[in-house]
Amino acid sequence: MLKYIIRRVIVSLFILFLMTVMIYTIFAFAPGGPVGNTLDPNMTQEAIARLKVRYGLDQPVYLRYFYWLRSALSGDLGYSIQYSKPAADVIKSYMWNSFILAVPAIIISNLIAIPLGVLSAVKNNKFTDKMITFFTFASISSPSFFVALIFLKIFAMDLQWAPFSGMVTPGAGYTGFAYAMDVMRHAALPLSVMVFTGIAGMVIFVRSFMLNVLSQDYVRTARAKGITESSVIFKHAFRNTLIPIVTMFSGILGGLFGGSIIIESMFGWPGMGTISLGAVTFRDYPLIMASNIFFAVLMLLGYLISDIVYGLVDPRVKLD
Amino acid sequence: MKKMSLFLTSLVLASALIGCGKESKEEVKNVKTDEKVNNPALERVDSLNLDSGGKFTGTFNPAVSTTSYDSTVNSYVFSTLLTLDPEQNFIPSDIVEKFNYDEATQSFHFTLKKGVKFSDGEELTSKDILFSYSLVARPEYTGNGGFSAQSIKGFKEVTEGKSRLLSGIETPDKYTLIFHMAEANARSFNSFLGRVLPSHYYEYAVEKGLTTKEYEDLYNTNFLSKNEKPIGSGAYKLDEYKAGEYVILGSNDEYILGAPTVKKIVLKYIPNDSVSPSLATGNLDVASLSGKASKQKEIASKNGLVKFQKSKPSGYSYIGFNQRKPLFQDKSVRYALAYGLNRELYADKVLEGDARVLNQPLGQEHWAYNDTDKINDYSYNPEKAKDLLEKDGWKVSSKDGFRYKDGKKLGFILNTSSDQTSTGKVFLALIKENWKQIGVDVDIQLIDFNAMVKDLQSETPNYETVMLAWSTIADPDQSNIFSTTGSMNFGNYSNKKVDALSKKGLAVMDKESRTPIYHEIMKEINNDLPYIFLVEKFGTVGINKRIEGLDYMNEMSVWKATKSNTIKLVK
Repeated sequence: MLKYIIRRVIVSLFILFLMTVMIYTIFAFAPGGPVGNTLDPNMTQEAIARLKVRYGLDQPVYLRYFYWLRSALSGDLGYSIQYSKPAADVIKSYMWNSFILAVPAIIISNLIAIPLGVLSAVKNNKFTDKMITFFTFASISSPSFFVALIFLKIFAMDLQWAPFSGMVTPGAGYTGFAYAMDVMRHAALPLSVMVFTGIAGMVIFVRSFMLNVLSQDYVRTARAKGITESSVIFKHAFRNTLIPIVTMFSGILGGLFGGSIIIESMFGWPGMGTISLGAVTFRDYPLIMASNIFFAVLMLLGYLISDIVYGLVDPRVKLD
Repeated sequence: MKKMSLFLTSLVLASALIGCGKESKEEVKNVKTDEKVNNPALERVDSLNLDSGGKFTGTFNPAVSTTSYDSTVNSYVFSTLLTLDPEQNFIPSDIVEKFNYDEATQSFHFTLKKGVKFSDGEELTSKDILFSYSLVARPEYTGNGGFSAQSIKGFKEVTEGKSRLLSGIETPDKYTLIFHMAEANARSFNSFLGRVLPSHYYEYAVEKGLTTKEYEDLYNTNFLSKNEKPIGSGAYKLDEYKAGEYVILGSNDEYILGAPTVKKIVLKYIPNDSVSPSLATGNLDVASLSGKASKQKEIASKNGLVKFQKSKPSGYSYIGFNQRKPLFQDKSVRYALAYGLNRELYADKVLEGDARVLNQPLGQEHWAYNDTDKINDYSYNPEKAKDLLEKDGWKVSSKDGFRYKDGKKLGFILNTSSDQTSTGKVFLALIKENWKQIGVDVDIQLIDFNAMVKDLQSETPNYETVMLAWSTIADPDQSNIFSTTGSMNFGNYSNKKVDALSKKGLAVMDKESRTPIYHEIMKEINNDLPYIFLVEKFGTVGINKRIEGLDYMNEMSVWKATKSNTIKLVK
């Protein structure tokens, strides 16, 4: 087991290295740059040239990459040009906000989606199944910004139950429990939208795997043995659907932070999605690199964990 | 404002959705309750909630701020030497006793008021101003404020690292400053809109002889690190900043004119779609509306809490020709495209009259605007456009309805930014349709702004036509944009007369002698048509009814009204 983990970590580091090379070159060759990108009539050509030297942008791309790599290896991800502060600090001040929104969203939507998927499979082609399928298709086919607008109109504007945007009430100075309540009040709407639009995929996934398992011979055998229906479903069938569900989870850790850009923008939530998008528009290379490494590490970590968990839920898989 | 185009579409949807809910019954109710309406904004008593307009990047340091949203905060926190009156004249600011320009020695003389203090209690002296102007010239400096010092003597020595302070700024005593300019240039006045940083707080390395790396490290650790904790001499100080969300400003007790009566100002980032609803529910006090004004006004006035004002245009939009391309060296083609475009329809119908068509690079309210000469108005006239093209040899082909000359089709690409508002998209469709009618095939390409700028600023730009907007500054000078060697003259426009007049216009300082020069420049540009000038837009601003005494002209208006206490909050 330990040997397996060490081997996987080494492979992951190598993948991470290749990713930095790719991301760096792609953005370095994209037209535009962080200096003189605003058509400011006050910026003279000399000033632009001076700033390019200051940021090392006058160097060839491969050299720039090696300078970046050298300082990144010593733990310095460089200064964000847009924010005028270390790129790592920029990420630190936004990542937890994304976390506050994304983690509950994933937990809640799976707590709803998995039972719904199982129920839908068990009641295959009955009224309940049709209702769930109808709801699922409604959810999967409504774009999240559209749902967000409807929620804003009903709950923020007409009923005034929740605030329009932001994460905390400005200047309220809440601490402790009051602060947590304030954040929850602000998170309620974006969270509902994320849950509403997020459950559909999982329901369909669980339903189809469950249906597949339910038609297996061993399930028929179990039924023939006269075991109660609930025990057939949960002890025999559901356990086997867990394996593909674990695989589904592997990509989630990365998607968690990157996937909610639209929701974050609609509700003015100060998260990672919008800053990494802003970094690309500005061509803020140090911040682009830092945020992409952040996403990449999460992604690789997700795969590593899911591989390990895979071995736990499925004894047939040997991790060596 | 940069927003994903997705939200613009969604804005249209939002308006449509919210519009559906409105019924006549509701309207009657609104009118009835209007008198004694429940205004939640009243609970805020002496504090204001403003829309920041976009996300802060936390660069609350006027020397390095990268967004206009951060700059707005800086205007509350820091002072300038000069400021602009409503007629765009330069006048001494709150911290200046008197100032004058001495033509003989090409120098500006300032006398500072005594007893001006920064929010930490230290006195503002000539030393602080010397630091603020020297900083932007230093080699390790990363902002785009260099222009404010580049016409001061000694700029080059500081840039090259030979000196740390500008030799062209003389400080005989704590309250006197003499700026020696390298040349007589009317644009120099703009330099004095730069903001003053306290040197005791921000100075990080005044001594000479350190290595480049050492200066850069000191700059990062002792200067940039203070971006989120600014200290200035303005009417407000920054009390709280929450990254990505809001800024809270508190009145500055040390302010030279006395602490303002509006004790607290909250500048909050609100996504575009939620601005009008937030006004309607009283969560916001002042905000400019984006998108279709009539629809947004309808949403914002739902609870009867909001009144509206129009803000002044702050720039103009245009379609620029790349005159390196032979097609656009042909004046008839440029003229025909102008006559063939229905700008009036765009201004009156698409923008609902909140815009004015213009034919010269200055707004109608500018003192140098040419309203005396008879300049060409290029009003929509498709027949004239067809006629011009016909005479020029462009014949309509029976095959596809487009015009051809020597087997070459009259077609080109129009580049524009991919960030388009809903009204902007309608206008693009209008352009395509209008020009098709006169036999011109235009291919509109929406591209990433940053990539577009890269092409425009390259040695030989490759674009054919580009649609963009300029924001106008107080000075009427056009040499950046329309003189042959101008840094923003990417269309390669060249007119010797404009070059000479631009030089002449900058060399004299008083309005009376400058006006005729600029009238002449306007006439030349109008006649040459390097751009099709489109419109200057008015903004719509929603203001909560509890606010009185606010005459909203531009984003600086709230700042001016609060620091001078002309704004009154109804209790």
